Amino acid sequence: MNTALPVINLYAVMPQIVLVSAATVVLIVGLFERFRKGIPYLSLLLLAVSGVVAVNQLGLGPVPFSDVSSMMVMDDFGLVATLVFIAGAVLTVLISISYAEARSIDRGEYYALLIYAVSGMSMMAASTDLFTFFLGLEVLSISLYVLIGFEQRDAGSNEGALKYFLLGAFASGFILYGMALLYGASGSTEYEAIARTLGGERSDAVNLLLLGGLGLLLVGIGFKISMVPFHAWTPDVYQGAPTPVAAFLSTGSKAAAFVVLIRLLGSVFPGLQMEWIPLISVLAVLTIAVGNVVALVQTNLKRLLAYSSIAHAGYMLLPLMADSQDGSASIVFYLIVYTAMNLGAFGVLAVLSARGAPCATLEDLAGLGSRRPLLAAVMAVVMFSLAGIPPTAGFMAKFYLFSALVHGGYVELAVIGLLFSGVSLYYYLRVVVWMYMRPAAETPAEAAGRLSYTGMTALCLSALAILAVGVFPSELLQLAERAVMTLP
Amino acid sequence: MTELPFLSLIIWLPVLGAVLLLFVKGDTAARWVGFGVSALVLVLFAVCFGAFETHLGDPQFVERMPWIESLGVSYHVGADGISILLAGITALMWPLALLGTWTIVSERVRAYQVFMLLMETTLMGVFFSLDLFLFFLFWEGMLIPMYFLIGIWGYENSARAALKFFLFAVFGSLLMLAAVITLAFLYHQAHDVLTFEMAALYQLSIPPEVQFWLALAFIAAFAVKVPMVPFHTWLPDAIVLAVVLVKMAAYGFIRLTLPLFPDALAELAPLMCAVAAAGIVYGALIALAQSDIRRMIAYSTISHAGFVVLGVFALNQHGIQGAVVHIVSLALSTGGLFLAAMMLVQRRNTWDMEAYGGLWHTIPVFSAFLLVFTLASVGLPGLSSFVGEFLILVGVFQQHIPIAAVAATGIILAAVYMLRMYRKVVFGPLTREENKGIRDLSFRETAVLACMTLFIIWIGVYPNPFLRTMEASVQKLLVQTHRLAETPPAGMTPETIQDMR
Amino acid sequence: MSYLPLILLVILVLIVAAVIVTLSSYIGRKKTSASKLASYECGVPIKDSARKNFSVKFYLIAILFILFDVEIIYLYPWAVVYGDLQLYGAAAMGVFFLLLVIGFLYEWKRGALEWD
Repeated sequence: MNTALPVINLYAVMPQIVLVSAATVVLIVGLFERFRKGIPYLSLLLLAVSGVVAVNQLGLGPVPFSDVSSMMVMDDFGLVATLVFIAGAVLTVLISISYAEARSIDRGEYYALLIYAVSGMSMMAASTDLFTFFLGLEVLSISLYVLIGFEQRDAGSNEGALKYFLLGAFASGFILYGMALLYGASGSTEYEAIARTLGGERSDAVNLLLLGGLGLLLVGIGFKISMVPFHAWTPDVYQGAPTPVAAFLSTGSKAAAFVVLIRLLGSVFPGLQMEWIPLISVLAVLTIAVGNVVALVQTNLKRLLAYSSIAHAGYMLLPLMADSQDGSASIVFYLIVYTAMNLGAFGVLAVLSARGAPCATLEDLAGLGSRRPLLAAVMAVVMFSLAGIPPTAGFMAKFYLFSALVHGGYVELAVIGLLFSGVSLYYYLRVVVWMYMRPAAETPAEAAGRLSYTGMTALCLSALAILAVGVFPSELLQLAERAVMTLP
Repeated sequence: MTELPFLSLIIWLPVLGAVLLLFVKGDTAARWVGFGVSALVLVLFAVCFGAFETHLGDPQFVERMPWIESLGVSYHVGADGISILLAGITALMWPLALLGTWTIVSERVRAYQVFMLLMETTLMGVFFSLDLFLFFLFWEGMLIPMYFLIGIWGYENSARAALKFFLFAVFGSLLMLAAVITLAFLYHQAHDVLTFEMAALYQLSIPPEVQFWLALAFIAAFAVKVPMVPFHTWLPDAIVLAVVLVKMAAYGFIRLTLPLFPDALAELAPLMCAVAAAGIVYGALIALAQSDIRRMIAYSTISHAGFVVLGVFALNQHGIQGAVVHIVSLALSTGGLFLAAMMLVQRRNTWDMEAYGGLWHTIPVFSAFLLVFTLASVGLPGLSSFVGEFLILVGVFQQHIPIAAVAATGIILAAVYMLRMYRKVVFGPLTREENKGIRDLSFRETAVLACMTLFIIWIGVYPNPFLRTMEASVQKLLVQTHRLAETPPAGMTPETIQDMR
Repeated sequence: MSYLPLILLVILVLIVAAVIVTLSSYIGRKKTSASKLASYECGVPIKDSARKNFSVKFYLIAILFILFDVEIIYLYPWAVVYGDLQLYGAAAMGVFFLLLVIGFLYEWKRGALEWD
């Protein structure tokens, strides 16, 4: 017997290798009590290293992981996505430091799991095979289950973790079943092979399998991006999870699922467009509508942001219909901007909550404008950006997204989306109203003491980035366009 | 002279001032910085205005550089006769407004100055943009400072008013955004180039039924801000900025709606004129019923805004020139009226007309200025509003006689409600004790109001320079609007106005 | 015919089992008690309340046991083709074991193996 060994290109998966190693190092170092204070900074350093590795690989073109079955590929699309995830994780670590210390959850595992989650996301982004996609998804999900429940003594945190775990397990089940059907139809788990089956002649039975598989995959991914009707977990989980984790959950895991969705729908399932375009368009509009309308009546800030993130997922679904490079690029651009915005919004809450009383409701923000001018300014920038008002990045992202949609010929959907984004203004501005136009009833507990420097650095960075991209979006747009160029 | 990027300086100087303000400590210093920067903008503008060539209809002082290349957006600014007049009145009003509210705004002074300066930037940007994307950016960006100005420094219920205003404005703008994207898309289909250049988009031939919807979207955006009935309900709560908005929105009508959608206008213009005329009468009638000075001024603004829209949609030289002059004069007369009222309220702390009376005896200087602004609002010949209203009515009479007749009643009603207010506040016996010890205007306040009065009289008596400045531009606009090969019949020259007077 | 050894094995097993059971029932000493006569006997009462508490430590040990137990399964196929895999195989299994060892060290240091 002679086994033919596959030629493996480890360089192609270097970012993922570095991320996994980084997480493991953090885990081990975290075992030693005397390094406790240094763990977050070690995580930042290692994340930066993996970022440098990913940047160095940019533009080197698609390199498959192995010659036999590609499994994973190193291309600009995956790398840009990885960079976004890393940036999101860096910001999350920064806003976590004071929060985690205040709640005594500043253990090595916290930061290690965060980096493991990033490695899973990165794997999802680079995968060209259902197996690696699922592997990445599970690495991400399992890390998140633990992270959400990290505040062991907090009932909300436990509730959120259990809900996310149960529903996440169901979603994984759906995805697995969908994969099985796809495998049954095409005889392979590789994206390319499935796409080939779709491209060729196919019998009704095979068609049914493919459709069923796609449908089940969409259910599972829809859960991850909190698409209506699979969104119900979002507010509870965001509310219960430690605030920095909620920030990470709303940006990173959602972005990873979107990246997979772009790859799948763009390069595997164009053959079924007639079937999924109507489906996605209806679901996208529903998602936008439900997210925006329900957010109107929220008074809890995390729930408000949860519904807002549902609505944003809806916007990002829209350009999938346009089925163009522009459309995909606009999603990537939107994801980048959205990551900065949402991390900023949750970050403000995290930094505020780190000082004594948690900052939970709109009332807690009253008078923030005079109490904490810098923090309030950051929040205002973020809110205007989420609402899509120039000169913020949120406007540019929306503009690019809706113009891709119009260019794809979906003017009606663009108008609907824009009108609902008008609705969204109401609740974003309510936050601003509370901060600047309502005096505080009494001096809250967090009024005394300084805010964490690291958290403020992260927040100011993201606010500045939002403004800078709002005025000079060219560079980032080009990056997004370059990223999708490598997609087939 | 023209080597200096004048327009960019005018647009961005206030932003620099706002950044500078972040490092300034103390209210008085902040006031001086705000005033100084806006005064500097005025000086720059005066230099610019001096170099403006009135006989050219094309944009001047043009600056252009690529900005977001992948979207075909460029930073392209320039000033033509219409925009330079509107920018001029903005540049003039800003230092005056800051000076006029020197002590009226006593809370969070620094933030107030910052937002005022940011708003000046966005206004100037709107007037000078030659790229539709840039225009939209400034147009939407303006909402942020405006929102804070209404919400923080407005009067009672201001947070709610700010929200209401913002939602109204944004819904209009979002429709416009969809139309802007569609326009660029249509251009891309026709010429395979992605661009937002206004001049290029003007040349686009769009099927009339598409034009109709796009025009409606643009009109929605502008009508909310003008504000036209029935989109006016935010105004009485947020009067502070009404004058500014009228300016912007009317400019939007002139700059975009007219030349972009000539075919749709054939259908829409008479309708718009009719709605505008209805708005004139409606605003005037409601103003008649108010006893609150602020609300009265608000409804009178709705009425005046109707005149402006009417002039624009008359689609002829008289109408449009009249509309522009009327906008300028509105800024002076209504702006002055409101500023004066704010000074009075600062002393007595009530907007109720009934609380005053007999002020002529205690504060004669104030009363004299209030008289000028009241009469200017009424449209007394010799004062600024007369020129505008007269030209508008002449323009409309050429198109729709019944509408003009209805609109003319608005002037009569204006006389009724304005003089009624003046009588209640200033004349009559001095019955109330609180009004006896009231202080008259300080030197600073007198200077501000005097400056505005000066311009009101100047435009009223000798409007030639203003009319001549925009004449060529308006003609060019009409050529585009009517898609005419030849120039339209020569419009009203300044001489003919003199004759009529 | 190639199944012959297998069939022989099955027959042999059956014979041995029958012999043992028969022998023990004849020559074994019998001391009966209620729980010994129960149909299934493993030291734990077979009929008991379902709401009985077990120490949570059992679960932890069980989970850890299963983790390491399952991972051993990888060793068998690896050992079978080891000759073909050569250095490549050694390196891959080395990485695998390194990760296992790290996991083991982690749980040791965290105190998961301490009963008290």
